[in-house]
Amino acid sequence: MRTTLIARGAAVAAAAAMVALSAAPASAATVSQASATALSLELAGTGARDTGTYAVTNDGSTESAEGSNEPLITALGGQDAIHVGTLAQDAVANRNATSAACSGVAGDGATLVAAGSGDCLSGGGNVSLDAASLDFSDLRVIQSDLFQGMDTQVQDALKPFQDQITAGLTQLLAPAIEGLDGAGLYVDLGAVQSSCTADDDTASGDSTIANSSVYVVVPGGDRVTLVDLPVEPAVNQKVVTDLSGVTDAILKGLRTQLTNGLDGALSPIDPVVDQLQKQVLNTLLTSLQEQLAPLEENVLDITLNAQNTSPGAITVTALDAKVLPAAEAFVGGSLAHVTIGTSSCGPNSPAPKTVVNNPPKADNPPASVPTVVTAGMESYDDGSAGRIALVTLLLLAAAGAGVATYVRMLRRG
Amino acid sequence: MADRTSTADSPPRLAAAASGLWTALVVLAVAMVAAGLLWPSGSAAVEVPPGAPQRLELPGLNTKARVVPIRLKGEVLDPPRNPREIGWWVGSAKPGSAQGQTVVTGHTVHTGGGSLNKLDHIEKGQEVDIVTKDGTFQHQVDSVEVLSRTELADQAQRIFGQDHGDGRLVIITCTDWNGSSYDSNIVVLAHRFNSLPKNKE
Repeated sequence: MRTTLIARGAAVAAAAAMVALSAAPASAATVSQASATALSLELAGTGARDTGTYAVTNDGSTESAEGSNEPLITALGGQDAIHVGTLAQDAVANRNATSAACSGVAGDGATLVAAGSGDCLSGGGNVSLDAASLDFSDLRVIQSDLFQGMDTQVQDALKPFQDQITAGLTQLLAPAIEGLDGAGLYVDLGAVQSSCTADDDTASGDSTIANSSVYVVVPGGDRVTLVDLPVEPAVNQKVVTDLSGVTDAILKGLRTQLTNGLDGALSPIDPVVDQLQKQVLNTLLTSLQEQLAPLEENVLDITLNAQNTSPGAITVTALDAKVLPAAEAFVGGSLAHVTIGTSSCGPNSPAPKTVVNNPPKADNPPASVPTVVTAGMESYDDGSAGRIALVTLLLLAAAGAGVATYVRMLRRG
Repeated sequence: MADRTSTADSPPRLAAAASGLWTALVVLAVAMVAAGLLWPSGSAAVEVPPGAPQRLELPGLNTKARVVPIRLKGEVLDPPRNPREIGWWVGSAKPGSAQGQTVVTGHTVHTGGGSLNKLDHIEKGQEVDIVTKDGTFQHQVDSVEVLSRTELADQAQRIFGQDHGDGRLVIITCTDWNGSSYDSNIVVLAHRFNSLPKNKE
């Protein structure tokens, strides 16, 4: 009897819980969602800056948005990595459990396109991202190494001159190293963007990288392209950048400068100068090469079309680049980590269908269609009128000058 | 003797055989051409999938314009800033869809140069084409309506609603310049009658 009572009580409680759950408002659930962030910079010393995230959700009847879908480059104040360009971040979340987002960066002049059909940006020039300045001021002449490997007799003979040679080399090296100041590491960006779409079941995304490369500007203004970024990168494609080419150029320049300088520094010990010069210089350059070794490793860790997926959801980042710790000794500047074009879609789920008896009739159901179309303009100035006026003026001026010359010639004749 | 007769008959037989073969080949060729003309080719059944529009063409008005996606701002549909472009409302059906309706809009510029400046000259029965990356959807104009701002708002569900329309095309721009602004909208409705895959265009 007692067992029966307990069973009945449990059944009543379960039924009450079901009724309570079914009475919960269905509209509170998120039917679809998406978000987009055009650009995020993590700056050494001063923290992170980004364009903000534009996020939309749809509860089955209305779309709600947070953030701005018209980001401005000027909002990234207090940094020197990027100053111009066109930013895009847009997202849509629909009632039918579909959503889309796109985001990215392009040069000035790019056209913005609404989310929902892939790319956000079309056209536009390139924009340069100042990834890092290269700093070689820590290069040193290591005195103990300079005379290693030489004959003991020669070393003994050179002892009185060791300080003189070392001081000479240090003096020579300092201006040569100073001359390397201004070398910088840049990422040249065309249109770099990602997009994604999701429905109630699946999500997908992709990235495009147009006309982009990583390069170094060495002292004197020469540009050395380290790597051209692929236009249609594979998912999570890694790009390797090292500065071995730059290191070679630096060592070649130093060899020339030091050779010329040593001719003067070693003149007091003229009898052995040639052999000594070769020996000391090689030892010094080998030492410098070892000090520059970290630059032979990857300087930037770049991942293109980075995709992070979960059931029904995806986050795509068009470009994710980090300055690696291995190169920190030589890489100054502000940039530690940059992400361009992060688009997220889903997870979405259809609004549960509820059967309601005698649903209340809304007087003014929310409009989801246009009621106003503003498709008229009084005039449009694309600059052609000004150009035509200028050409007309020039033609008139030319004709006037021609007539004047003609009249003058007639009078002389 | 028999050999002589056989040898004498060979040339006429060969000529007759060649003539017969020639006739058969001619008949076969004619038949194949006729069959090719009459028999519907398999590729005609290839359907163009729905896709985002890239270009709108109004052959009767000698008008072609690039199409870009646009979104609704509140309840206002604003065409692209460049008046030479057409906007496709991303909340409407993609061209080629079996349901809903594809809504495109472009500017009329009073001083000229708008993508849909000539739309008030379009007539019922004229062809309107929408080009996507996969092909072209051909439409025929069913109606041309001029609606005041109030009338457009009142009939918004009929004109722009996506719960009806079986993939028809809606083209809209402004008309009735009053000296400082436009008083009305011109709305063109067209049904799809054919689709041409890209490689067949």
